[in-house]
Amino acid sequence: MSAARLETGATEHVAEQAEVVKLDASILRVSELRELRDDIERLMPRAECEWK
Amino acid sequence: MTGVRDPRPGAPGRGPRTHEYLSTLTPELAAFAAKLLPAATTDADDPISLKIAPEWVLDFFGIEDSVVREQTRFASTLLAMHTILQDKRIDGDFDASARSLSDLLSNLLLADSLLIFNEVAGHAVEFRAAVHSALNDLAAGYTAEPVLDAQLAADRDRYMTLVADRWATVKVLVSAVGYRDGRIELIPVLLDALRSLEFAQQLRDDLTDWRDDHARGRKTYVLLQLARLVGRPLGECEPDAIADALYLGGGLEQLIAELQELLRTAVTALAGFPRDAFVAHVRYLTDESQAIVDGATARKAAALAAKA
Repeated sequence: MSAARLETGATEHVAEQAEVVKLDASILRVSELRELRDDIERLMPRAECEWK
Repeated sequence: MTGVRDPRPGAPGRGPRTHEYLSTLTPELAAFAAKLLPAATTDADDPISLKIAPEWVLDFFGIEDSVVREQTRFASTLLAMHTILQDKRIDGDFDASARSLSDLLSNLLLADSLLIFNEVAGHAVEFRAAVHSALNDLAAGYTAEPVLDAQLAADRDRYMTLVADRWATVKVLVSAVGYRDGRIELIPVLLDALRSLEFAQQLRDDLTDWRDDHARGRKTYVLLQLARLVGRPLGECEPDAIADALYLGGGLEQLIAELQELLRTAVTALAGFPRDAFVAHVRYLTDESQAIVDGATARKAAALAAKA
């Protein structure tokens, strides 16, 4: 596990897949990543039927 | 005898509405249909559609005859109702009794729809071949779905064909109007554009429904792509890993870029043809998806700024 991953305490897949965040600035904690993730998910449109 | 009346449009400019159609069915079938498709009981012009508006097709071919437009709209609605019932049946939503009624109603809807589309097509012999081809494509779509895998998802063109096959009833609509117009060489032009739009809409649905799809074990294009980002087979990916890949790992940006590229392709394919309503719909989808990306970018920037 890399130093960056150790520092974030993130699971391996989180650290790998959070490269956009990691590369752009300092490192976010797992709790912060989760909060950010949930925040972004709320942007998604509500699921609709395949018909209207 | 069921007492079913001819469902074809009557007075020019205003064909029957679905609630009028339902009133021609036996009470049992009508009640079943109303329960499953409550929108069909309203007086709306176009209560049910499958996200491909018949108006786009009519406008593309420049069909202005109000009777033909009404016939096309109504036949499309019946075809959409048929498709919805089929999907519900495939999803196992019915018990044995409901399956029987569903089969009857579904067959009736398909038959009535095709009868009207056949009139739209001017009874062209070739239209029958187009219907056969569409239903064969639909069968191919049903057959292919269970064998989806990461390899197929990596081959987008093959995957797009599969999605187009699942939407193959659109070919009935486009072919009927194309044969009415006579410029049948334009049928594949429009179908090609719709193929891109259908896949873009599928991506949108897959993005919004991914949690439910994942819970149901569905192997959608979006889930298969996200599993590749996670680096594990989809069956071994927990929802948390998928969510991380999607919202934090660049999956969202990548998939929305793909969606927007498909939308651009669809609009470009119809350049030079009447397509205002089509373009308006595409613009809506583009703006909606861009707002998601912009929102995600802003939130990521804000989270990083808070740490700085």
